[in-house]
This record gives sequence, structure tokens and C-alpha cells, in this order.
Amino acid sequence: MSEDQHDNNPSAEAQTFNLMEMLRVLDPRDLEVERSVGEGLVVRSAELGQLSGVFVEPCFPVTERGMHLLLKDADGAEIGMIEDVHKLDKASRNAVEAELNEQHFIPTIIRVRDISDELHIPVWQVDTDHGERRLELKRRHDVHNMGGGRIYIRDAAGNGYLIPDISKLDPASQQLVQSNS
Amino acid sequence: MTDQRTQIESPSASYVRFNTAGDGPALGELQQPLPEGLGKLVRQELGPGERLIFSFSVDMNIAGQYALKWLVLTERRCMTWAETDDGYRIKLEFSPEELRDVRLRDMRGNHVLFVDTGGGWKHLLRSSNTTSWKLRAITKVLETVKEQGPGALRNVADIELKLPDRPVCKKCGAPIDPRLGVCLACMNKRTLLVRMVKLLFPYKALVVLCLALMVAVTLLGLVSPLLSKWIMDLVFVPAIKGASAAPQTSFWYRFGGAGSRDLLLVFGGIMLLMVVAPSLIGALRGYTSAWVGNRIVVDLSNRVFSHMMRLSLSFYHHEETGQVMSRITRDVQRIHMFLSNRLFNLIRDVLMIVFIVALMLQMHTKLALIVLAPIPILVVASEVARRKIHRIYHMLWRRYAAINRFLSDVIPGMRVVKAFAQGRRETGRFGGIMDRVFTQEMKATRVHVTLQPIFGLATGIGQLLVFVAGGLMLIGGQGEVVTIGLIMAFNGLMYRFYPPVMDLARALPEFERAATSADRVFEVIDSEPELQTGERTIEMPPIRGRVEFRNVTFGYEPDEPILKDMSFLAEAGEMIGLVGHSGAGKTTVINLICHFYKVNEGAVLIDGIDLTEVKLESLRQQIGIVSQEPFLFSGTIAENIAYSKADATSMEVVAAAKAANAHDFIVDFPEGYDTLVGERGARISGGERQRIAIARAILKNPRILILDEATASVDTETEEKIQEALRRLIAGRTTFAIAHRLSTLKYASRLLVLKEGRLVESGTHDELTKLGGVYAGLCEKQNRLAAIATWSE
Repeated sequence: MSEDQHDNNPSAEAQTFNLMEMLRVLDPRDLEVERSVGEGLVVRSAELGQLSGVFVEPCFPVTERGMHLLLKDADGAEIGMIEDVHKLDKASRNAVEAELNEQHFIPTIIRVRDISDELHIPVWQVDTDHGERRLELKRRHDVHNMGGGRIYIRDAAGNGYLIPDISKLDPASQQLVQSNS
Repeated sequence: MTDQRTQIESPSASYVRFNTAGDGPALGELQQPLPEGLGKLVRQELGPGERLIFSFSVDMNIAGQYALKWLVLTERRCMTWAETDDGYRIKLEFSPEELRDVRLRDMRGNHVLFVDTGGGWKHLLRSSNTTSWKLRAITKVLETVKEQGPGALRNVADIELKLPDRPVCKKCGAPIDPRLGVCLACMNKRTLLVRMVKLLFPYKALVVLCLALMVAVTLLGLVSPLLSKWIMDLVFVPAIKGASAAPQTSFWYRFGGAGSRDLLLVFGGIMLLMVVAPSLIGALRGYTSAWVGNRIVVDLSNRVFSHMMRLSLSFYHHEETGQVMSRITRDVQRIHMFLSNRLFNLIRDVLMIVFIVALMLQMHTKLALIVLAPIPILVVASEVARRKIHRIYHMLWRRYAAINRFLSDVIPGMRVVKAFAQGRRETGRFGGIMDRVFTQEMKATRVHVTLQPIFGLATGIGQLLVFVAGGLMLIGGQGEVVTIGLIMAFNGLMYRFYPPVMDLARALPEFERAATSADRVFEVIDSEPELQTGERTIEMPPIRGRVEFRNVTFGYEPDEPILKDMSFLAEAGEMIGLVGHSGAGKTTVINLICHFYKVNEGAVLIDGIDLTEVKLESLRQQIGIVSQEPFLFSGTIAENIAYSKADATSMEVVAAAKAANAHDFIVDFPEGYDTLVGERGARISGGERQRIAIARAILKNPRILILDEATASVDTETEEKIQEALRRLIAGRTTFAIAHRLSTLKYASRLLVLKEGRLVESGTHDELTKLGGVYAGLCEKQNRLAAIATWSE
């Protein structure tokens, strides 16, 4: 009885909507991007025409920088997604990365000099790829282990810092981070 | 006629055929043989050729007094018999032809069965919750008789009685509480000890090594009292009194003469060895036993946790979270302490005692017997203490659990506490709990401090006896040879003898602690998942979405049915709205579709397959739920969305979030999809949580979708966004939605209206409004409320 029922019913699978249609992934070969300092990016493509004042926003700023980047117009409306910045041509890629570095600034910690506790405030002395820095955290829990050796730190002011892979740090830094997270 | 008589003489044969074993339905406890006295009376009542169908007792009489009341059903009549002080009395009797109607009313704590045999309702039986299932069974029988006529009685076997299938203890055969899963009568301390020891089995080799090292240390420990004896008798005494005072022959003379320096050096050397070797061996043993112990903690914790994952939700329905957590941590820790420490010490202590007693007896039997005389006092005292201590420690454990329970209750509810300014009261309650812990701890301490002096006394008396009795024998010099060395050795042995005895006495309460912990841990491991997952073999095929409830009766407590005889059919792809007042059973319907619980009667079928037959995982993989207060685990938002599909790509996660209208607020967080949520993470509003949960459900791409008040606690604008997301999600799937706001259900293809656990109306919104029934009433109320809301704005 139930079998007949099924046969009368066309495959229900087809009726559900296609999830991936929600995304508008841009063709990297079709994109040409350059910076217009102070006004975001200028994007040229056969599909979109020429757009200026474009901003870039990463979906996964901590775990997948450079991947799944959203392009938004000046009003914040989404234009589309660049799946992988590495698939753009060299000039476009440089433009996007430079813009990204400005619009979504997360320096990388390359060395940890010291971690101390000043009146219960954890203080980190670090070298980043953007220079030396002293971080004051709100609490010890603000050092987040994101899995795969990736560590993300947010200081009391809300600035983010990244250690992409703790095992790549020098042993002294590793020791310090591990005993303070 | 004669035939009939012979049948009735033997009680078992007087029942109709299907009751005999292996034939017809398993009537189980419903078929109770009549007691001697009643059996005789009933037999006198029976007419020629009249046979018994079955008889059973319930635990209450009509007045509500606890007393056995019997129901006897024959082919020609139904009788009830009450047990009174002067025997059995027939209370009610009617023939199937007279039966006009039957009605079972479920009341608080008891249930009453009425029959109408002409002339209005009459009480037939009354029962507490304990035996109410029997009332249900007989009601079914009588209803069938009413519908099909008296002939139905001849085919009682064909009536589906839906008797509870209760788990039975494998050892004693008694029915056991399905929620407990353990037969309390068959659980004893000895089996607990055996089971705890069995945990060591995987590490046999290491355990044997530990034991060997321990025996070595124990034996070495006994050498030094002997050495002191030899030094005294072979070196010191001869040195003072001359060689004639020494024994004539000795093994040790081959190293040097009596009283010589060489002999002293040999003994000195052995003594040094005796000091060094035990600490080395002891360290090795300590390390090995700690390794084994910690392995067991890991094994046991994993076992308890994985078992808890398999248990059905009813387990968590009956247990408080604090207690369950305490089981994995504290109780396992106690078992570890016992196995890695106490058990080995216990064996060492016993060995030590045995060796010392043997050595003493071998050296001087009479003195040994005198010196060991106080031992029985110790044994008796420790046995008395043991009983007392067990009770005290169980209480203590419960009081510590009370602290956890209190905290896990109050701290998550801090907003409520503060909002109602109840801080002072909660502080007072906490203080009360701590006071009770203190009192109980002190009780335990009192038992300890009273025990200590008893052991002290016994030790003192033992040593006194060595010197006085030994001395008298030395002075008297009759018969047995008592030397100074012997007295020294005995004294030394006595020093070594009492610590293990005291340890043993102390080990008992610790064994008690470990045993109560083990009791609880094994209780979890032993509790059979109610859903009997192990025996299921059918994988749920890809679901098309046809969901059917067939005469489902279900309650979380066996005797409080929430759903009563509910039947409905949802075709694949339909969206069904469940409507009704709170407590009407909407959420219960959903719990049963997910098969979180087993139905008491009837069946839930998906695509014609009874859910009790399919593997749970294969079923639940195809069902998605968005609930009122979605739970987010600690981790990133991306991880939370991907929880339903571990291998989802980042693109899929983003696409799902977009479909759920969650994408925009997610990328507005500084860390986007990498934003951490959960206890230590960012604060996420109810509406945002909801949409993350919808994204989770979208990504899972379930065949059956359940929306449990998915839009209950969000504002109108957010609700619109969620509604839009839900419309995408619903497309092409069978959906069940609960909503208080009836407007939320406007896309439903059909509404089911529940009232007090029964399906009262079903149809589209328009049909139901026209009907003017329960649904129309609900709508009207909501419209009035909405009008007030608009007006007050």
C-alpha cells in the first residue's frame, strides 16, 4: 500500500531548493580588481560591468583568510563571493589582499616574548608581522584555540591577533602560549 | 458435565485453552491464578460448562482502601470479588449481554473503571497507577464485547491488549522497573566487588607484576624483626655473656663465630639491603599500579559516557543533571582510588597479617597465641563500625550532590533570581545545604574518632602482652625456649602487625564509598536503553515523508497518558501545523516522530515502517529540528552550523546561512563565521540563535522537518526573516510545525488540533474556522489579543 503511495509521488528530492543557488560565486577569470585608495576597490567584469567603491569582507577571517571573500557595494549590499583569492590574476590578487589587510586587519603573531599577569590582567609582549606589540587581554579565556594549532587572541579593546600554527613558533614562544591558554 | 468437573478440579486446566503456555497472547501478569480460598468460591459459582477466561487482581477497592480486589472473567459473566476480613465477597456480577457501556477515567493517582449494565454507571474496579494497566486491558476487552457482542469473549486472544512489556531480571525473573534497569534485589556488595575487580582484567600482566612486587616488599619487611632476633641472640648476648650463651648451631655461623665482628658486619649488610630494596621495589609498584588505575579511569569514563549517549531521553527525564555529571567524575574517581590504591593495599595487608601470624606461630606457638588474643575485639569493632559508616557515607554523598544540584540550578537562573530580588533567599538556602553537609561530615568524623582509640587500646594491650607474658616465660624458662632475641622479634612483629589491621579497618569505609560509587556507575552501564537499539537491524531507507500515527497512546509516566489513541496520516511533502493549548500534547507528538521515546500503545510509522524496528541513527539522520531555544555548542558559528553535517564545505555553510537569513548578521561580527559562541563566546540573541539553528537544519537537508515554536521568542521583523528562511527550508519536505501564533501556520497544508492528548479537529485554516470548534475558538482569542495589542500601540 505504501509502495503505491510512493510511486504516485514524484521524487520529493527534486522539490527541495538547491542550496548552492543561495551563493553568487564570481568567476575569478572574469574579474579584474584594482585599488582606489580610500574608496575601496574598483571591479571590472563582463558579468557585472564596472563597479567602484567595492569593499571586501572575509567570511572566515580567522580560519580561512583569503578564502570566501564577500564583495559588497558602498551600501553594504552583497555583490558576490570570491571563493579563493589565489585564483585571481596577480595584480587583482594584490589589490584584494591589500584592501583586505586594511578592511579586516588581523596581524599575525610571529614570536611571543613574555606573558605576565599584571593585577590579574594577562599582558602579552609579542612580535607581529606588523611590528612589536603589547596586548592586554580581558581574561585568560580570550586566547581561543581554533583547532589545528591555530590560536586566535582578542585583546580587551577587541583587536584580533592570529597565531596560524603554534607548532611553527619557536619553542620558547610555544611554551609561553601553552602555559597561558 | 463430568468432563467439566475434572477440568475444574485442577485449577490450571479450568482456563480456556489459549492461556496455556506458548499458545495465544502472552497475558503475563494479567493472568493471575486465583488464591486457594477464592478459587473454591468461584468454582462453586460456575455453572456447568462455564469456563474461566482469566482473572487478575488490582490493588485498591472501590472505597479507595488498599486491598486486593479480583476480577474474574468467564465465558458467561464478569465478576468482581473483594477481599474482606471474613473471606471473599462477590461485589458485582453481570453478563456480557447486559453490558451497555464501559468507561475508564484516569484520575490523579488512581483510575476508576465504570460499567453501565442498565440503570446507570456503576463502579467496577479502582486501581492505583501501579496496576492501572490492568484496567486498560480489561477496558479494551469490555469495549470489544460491547461492540462485537458476547461472542467476542470466546476469541479474547484476538483482542490486542497492548500489555506493557516489562524487562525482567535475568537472574531472579522478577519484573524490574524499566527506568531503573537494574534488579535491586540481585545487586549486592560482593558482585560489585567482583565487577570492580573485573575492570582490572584487561591489564592482567601488570596487575600480576604489581602483586609480585608487593609480596616481595612484604616479605622483605618481615626480615628485619628476624634480623634483630639473630643479632641479639647470636652477636650481642654472646658478646656480653660469652659464647656459651649462644645457641649451639646456626646457619649464620658459617659467616663468623657467635659474638664476632664478622657476623655483625654480615647482619649489618643485610640490614642495609633491607632498607634500600623495599623503597626501590615500592616505587616501581606505585608507578605500575597508578598506570593501571588511570587507564581504568579512562576506560570507565568512556564506557559510561558512550552508554549515556545511547540511553533514551527518558533516562534524562528521570535523572537530575547534577547527579549524572557526578557519576562520570566523582564516582569514577572513587573507583579508581579503590582499585589502584585500596585494593592493592588490602591484598598487601592481608598478606602481611598472614605472614606475621605464620612466623609468630612458627617461632613460638604459645606466646603467639597469647599476643594475638586481642584481635577478635578489633574484628568485632570494625564490623560494627562498617554498618554504621555505610549509611553515613551514603548520606554524605547525597548532600554533596545537593550542592552541585543547587548550583547548576541557581547559577543558570541568575537573571530570574536577581529580577525577583531573591538573592538573600538563595544565599540562605545555600547556607542551609552547607550546614547539612557539615553536620554529616561531623557525623562521619565522630565515628572515626571513636574507632581510633579502640584500635589504640588493642595495640597497647598486644605490646604489653609481649613483654609481660614473654618476660614471664623467659624468667620461668619452662619448656619452650624464650630468648631476648625472640621477645625483640615479637615486639618488632607486633609493630608491623597492627598497621595492616588498622588499615583494613580503614579500608572498609573506603570500600563502602567505592561500592556505592560503583553501584551508581554500574547502574548507568547496566541500564538497558529503553529503545533497545542493539537488536535493530533495519536501516531506515531514504525517507519519502509519509508519517502515520496509528492509535498511539503515550505518557512520560506509564500511567499518565499524554496522547490518547491518536491516529493521523501526513502525506509526503505536507506541512502539518499542530495546534492546541499548552499541554495538549503537541511537543509529545514531535518527540514521538523523532522516536525519542517508545510509544506505550499503537505505532508511529514513517513510509509504512514502524519506528521501533529501524536503527535510530539512520532515522534521525533524516529528521531536522528547529526548536524554541536552539542549543549552540561552544565553538565557532561555522562549526555550529556544520554540526548536522560534519563534512560540510565552507561554501555549503555560507550558503546554508544565507538560506536561513543568518548570513548578514554573521558577517557583521568581527570574526564572521569564525565567531565563537557558547559559554565563553559571543552573546547571540534569540532570533540569531534561531536562524543559526535553521541554517543547521537546512544544511542537514532532512526529509522530515520539525519546527517547534521556531518563531516564538522573536520580534515581528525578525519573525518575517525567519518565516522567509523557513519557507525555503520547508519546500518539498514533510514538515511538522508547532506555533502558538496561529498566523505562523498560514503556509500549513493542514492543521491538526489537539485537546487533552486527543486529535479533535483536522483540516485547513478555512475549513476549521468554518467548523466553529476548538480551532475557531483559539483563533478568535488570538484575534482579540491582537486587537488589544494594536489598540494599545
